[in-house]
Amino acid sequence: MTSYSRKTWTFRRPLDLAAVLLVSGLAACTNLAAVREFAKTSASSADFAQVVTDYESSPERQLIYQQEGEANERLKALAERRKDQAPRLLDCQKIIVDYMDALGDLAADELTSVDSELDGLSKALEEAGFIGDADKVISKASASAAAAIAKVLIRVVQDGWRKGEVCKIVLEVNPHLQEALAGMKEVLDLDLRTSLQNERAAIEKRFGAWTASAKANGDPDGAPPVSRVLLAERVREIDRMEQLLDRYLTVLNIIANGHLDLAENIDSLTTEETIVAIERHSKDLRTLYKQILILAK
Amino acid sequence: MSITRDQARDLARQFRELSVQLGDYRFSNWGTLTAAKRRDIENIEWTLLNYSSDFVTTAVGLALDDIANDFVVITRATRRARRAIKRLETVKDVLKIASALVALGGAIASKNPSAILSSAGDLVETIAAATD
Repeated sequence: MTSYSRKTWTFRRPLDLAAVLLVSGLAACTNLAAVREFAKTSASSADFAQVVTDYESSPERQLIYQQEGEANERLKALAERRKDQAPRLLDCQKIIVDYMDALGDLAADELTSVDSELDGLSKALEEAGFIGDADKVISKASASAAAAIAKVLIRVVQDGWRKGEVCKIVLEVNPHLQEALAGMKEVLDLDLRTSLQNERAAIEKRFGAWTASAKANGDPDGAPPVSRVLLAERVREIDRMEQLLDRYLTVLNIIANGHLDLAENIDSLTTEETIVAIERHSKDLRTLYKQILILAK
Repeated sequence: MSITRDQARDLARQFRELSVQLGDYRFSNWGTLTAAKRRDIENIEWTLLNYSSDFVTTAVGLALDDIANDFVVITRATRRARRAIKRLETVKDVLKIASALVALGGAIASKNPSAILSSAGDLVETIAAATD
């Protein structure tokens, strides 16, 4: 701050003032609110604990449909394997949530606002007798102007650095986040779905046997209709789990696309078009999250 | 020989389909099959279905192994973001400490013992909060 007098806090060269005002104007444009909104919404929507629980407990649910024997023992061993595997799946989710959460925090505008802290300092200076209107070292008017300039300067410097950090992090993480999310989507769409399909097959076997047995023994009107009703009930539960899978797949897609939008438009994060696109991702996530909460109940 | 996640997924699908087909055969021919035969077929069905579930679990494990390194990078970036936040918050803490220091200086200048004690207490609290 050598360009302006310490005592009077007036700018020595008008160009300096113009430069500061220009930079402060740019910083004001560097609005990361849309990034924060998207990151925070992603973090709260990425919780897929229920999907993992459904996958983990599937072998246990199937046990009641199978007869005691060698196959049954294999299923019990599988239940143990899935119990060991579930924390790894939950860790994936936690890492993504933590990342989006930290990105959201870093994109928070209030992070670089030191207004209240500077006001506190001004007040302390005044109370300590360094600022005043009589024969004090600094006049109230000068101190007030200095505080106003300091607020802008600190914000400009900090905002610039903060935006740089957000950019670096988003660009560095993006290829890995895309890979990680693609891998998770595969696990959800192929493996966890196959797990549910196997459970559906197990349920249908038990009820299929009941119906076939009843028909073969001359009871086509008694047991089979009841069997159909009970089967439909069980299958509805599998349908609900599959719907939950579909919703989470969409959530992961939106997070992947939103982050890709951020990375590809990192130099133009302030344009209206980019902000609108990112806000749309946030809105979609919020809508989906509400549906997931209903399905997970 | 280890299998890939795609092979595990393919095997999971094929084993389930075989199990379902055998089940369909058992139900369609219920009356003509003996009870022992039906039990034998059913046992094979469950074995095939459980193998399928085994392969699903294997595929999940392999898929998670494949993306483990990507998660390491994401975790590292999260730590970087947290460090950046800490650095930005430090500026606020410095200003808070400066305010507390000025207040203490003013209290000392006023030679008011209770004000000095109170300001010193505030300074200690501010520093403690900043270094938390």
